[in-house]
Amino acid sequence: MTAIRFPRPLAFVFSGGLARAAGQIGMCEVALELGITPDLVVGTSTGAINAAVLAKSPADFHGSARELWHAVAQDKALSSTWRSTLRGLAGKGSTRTQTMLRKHLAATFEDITRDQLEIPFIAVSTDLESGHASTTQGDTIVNTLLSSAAFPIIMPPVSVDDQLLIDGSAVAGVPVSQAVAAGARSVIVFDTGSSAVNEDEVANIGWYEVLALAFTHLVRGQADHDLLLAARDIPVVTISIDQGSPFDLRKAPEVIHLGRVAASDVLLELSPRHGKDFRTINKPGLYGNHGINDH
Amino acid sequence: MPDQMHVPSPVTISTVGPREPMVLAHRLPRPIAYVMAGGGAHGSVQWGLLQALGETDIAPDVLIGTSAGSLTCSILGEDPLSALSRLAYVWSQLDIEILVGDSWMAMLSAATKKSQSLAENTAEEATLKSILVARDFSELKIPTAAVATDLATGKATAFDSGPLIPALLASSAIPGMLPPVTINGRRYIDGLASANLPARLAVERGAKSIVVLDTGSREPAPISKSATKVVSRVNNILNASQRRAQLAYASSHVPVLVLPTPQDLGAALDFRGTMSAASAAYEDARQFLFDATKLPGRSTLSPGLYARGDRLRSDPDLGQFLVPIETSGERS
Repeated sequence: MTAIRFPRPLAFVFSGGLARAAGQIGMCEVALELGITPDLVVGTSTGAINAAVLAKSPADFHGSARELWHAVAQDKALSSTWRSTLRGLAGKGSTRTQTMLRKHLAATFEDITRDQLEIPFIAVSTDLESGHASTTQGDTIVNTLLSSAAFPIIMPPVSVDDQLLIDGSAVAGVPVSQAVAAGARSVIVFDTGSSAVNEDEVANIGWYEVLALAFTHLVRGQADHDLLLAARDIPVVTISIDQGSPFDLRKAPEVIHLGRVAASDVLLELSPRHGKDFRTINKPGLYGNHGINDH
Repeated sequence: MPDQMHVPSPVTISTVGPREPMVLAHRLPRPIAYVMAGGGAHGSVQWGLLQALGETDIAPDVLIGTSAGSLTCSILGEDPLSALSRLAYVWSQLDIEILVGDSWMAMLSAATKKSQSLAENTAEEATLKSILVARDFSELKIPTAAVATDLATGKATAFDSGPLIPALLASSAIPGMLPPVTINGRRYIDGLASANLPARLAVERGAKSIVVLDTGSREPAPISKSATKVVSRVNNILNASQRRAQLAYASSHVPVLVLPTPQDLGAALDFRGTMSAASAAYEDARQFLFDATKLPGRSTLSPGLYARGDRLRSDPDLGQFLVPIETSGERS
């Protein structure tokens, strides 16, 4: 019996966060170790990859998630094309990045489809034409994840049926409203945090990094709005990290550890008080250490 | 110089004789804020909207704008009486060279180096100094704020005191293209990254009603897989959701009057269509304001989104706040 209880269905929501999404592995591990299990998992971008690993088999999450991220972190070719294509100067690099990512995903998911997962799973992509979220994309899990993680410039859009799909961060950086729409009555958000960096980190950055940072601020502003809206109706627990480079895949092991620390802090705070056996998080609102920009 | 004359058409040629201003101000709780969005060359639309507002009895108590909107606000705030004719002059002269200079070769070499932007803002600075006499916010007759984004934190920041020109440069520092501007030790970029339509800040700063002067939008481009087209499309999607969030917040607190704007404009840095965009905006806004005078009741308006209903009615975020202002068919 878990000590922290939630109104059901409880959704685990995995934000987009590029390389920083590795932190979600540590966060999710801590929640599972405390006996908190989801009825639904929802993810955007690289967060969708973590969500799918969990949905495939919660019992194997620890091993398979770490295996996947360690393989990605050690793939020097993937890290370097990932970073160089970000400068927008290597147009063809993006297709190579996608091929390399497909190889890693196939090692974990082979060719399984959504109905072979143990927990209901939603991945969010952006439909370029309508500008709306798409949650029904892809025949196999691998194709679903590639469209959700098709971050502009780093990877090309993915054609599914008659839709052209890209990374879901453009419409749902934190896909909490998709969790609510699917019936969630509480959510725990594994959040890769605010887009804020320290002033000294922007002192000497190049024009393309200014552009990328402005873009992440835009994405974050949209995600913050969705978090605040959801928190008006249901309890929204956010476990956030705002450290770890979004663009450096090689740091995955350190970032996983940051995630564990953040989750332990937040869930300790929500633990039962004064000798009670359990605590139910019932009241709508924002809990945890959310990194919402104050605007 | 524009290659063609664009003169606003004499809509009211049939109503001969002295004309009274449209009476609307008593419906708007004070202080009234004019909120002006960014939009590059589309900013000329705000000149047309201000012409239409000039035919009502509404007078703004405060002004807040982002990017191009911060310039329009400053011109209006500096001298409301001459603002329309000065804006006419500004928009007939502005073009891309005046803003970024004509050194395309320099931009290309900047692209390969680790510089903070592709262009410098010296040309823009000179242009702003030639347009505005004021050098400090305190010299403006109407309290005015310019919104920029804190580059490091992403926070929307309103500048309303101190040196005017650096704040306007910061507010319009298009990321990647124009350099971030350092003010009081922090770097700022274009307000578009945090609040391109700063309605929420207007409410937080005490406005009790808001008139939104947006800049209109482009005809949507065909969808393609090319990286630049995808990025530009994503930028549109993000801007649209930011705009919805701003309007939802503001209209849940105060009455927000959203003037209609053209939706078929050219590129945001294409300065050729600025005059025709302004005159189209003027005519539509004028009819809209006339229709708004027919809103039932006499007392001040309650919080809500007072706008043309056609595209907002089914909007999941904004539909709930909408008070549609439909056209009466009468000419204003």
